[in-house]
Amino acid sequence: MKIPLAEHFHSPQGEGLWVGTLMHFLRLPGCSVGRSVPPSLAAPILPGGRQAWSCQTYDGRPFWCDTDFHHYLDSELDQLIDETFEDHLCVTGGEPLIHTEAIELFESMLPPNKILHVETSGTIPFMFHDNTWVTLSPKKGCLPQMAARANELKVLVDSTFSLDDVPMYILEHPLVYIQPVNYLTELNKDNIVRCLNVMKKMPKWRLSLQLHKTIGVR
Amino acid sequence: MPKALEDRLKKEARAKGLKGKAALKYVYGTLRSTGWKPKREKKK
Repeated sequence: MKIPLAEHFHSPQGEGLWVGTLMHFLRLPGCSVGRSVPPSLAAPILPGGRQAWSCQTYDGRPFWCDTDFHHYLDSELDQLIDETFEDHLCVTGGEPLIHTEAIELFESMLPPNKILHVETSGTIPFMFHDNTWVTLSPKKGCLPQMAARANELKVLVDSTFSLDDVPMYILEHPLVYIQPVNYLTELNKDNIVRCLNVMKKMPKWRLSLQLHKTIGVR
Repeated sequence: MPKALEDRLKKEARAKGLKGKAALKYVYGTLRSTGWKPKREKKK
């Protein structure tokens, strides 16, 4: 059985509750949230040579997306699952939920001793299995019911972040990570300080630092 | 590119309340982001 795939790699999870846990990452192609920008806007160049896309957080703050999801390979699902020696398989994007049939296949075919993780923007409705770990980073058009289903939320913080604009579905969620909007391959210290200041007002929120950028892996 | 994905995106665009050009932009833009290219590019 074939599924669409942009790339796959083995790496420690760099964000959220499972930080440091080795996972098999499968990046599905395409995104329904971000958009390309004209060359005159001088978007940063991604490691693969492509211009970064502009994306928007739940409250419309623009930021440069640090991932390249513009590849399309039909890949054998069985082979990808066989290659997953880790206990965790993480499906990411882009926005992986534009390929709902692939997510359904993973949920039904992944052995029960492995945990499926899905990283989404929350803009496309989907009924996940109870066992699937859902990480949701709310982007423009995020659906409150998807945020309620998510196991963890990941809120991006930059110079324009305001607590006043944080919607109720984030404030009510039991596990919220705040993450600085970082550079493509390294951390942004100014935004880390902003995160720490936010945490003083929201002490239950946790800091997520993109470990992979700190240690220089994927 | 599977026709199924295009159809699903059209449905998704309707669910988001997008109509006309906005709906087409959503479908076409998302399709292009997957690496898909049309058989014939629009003349500039």
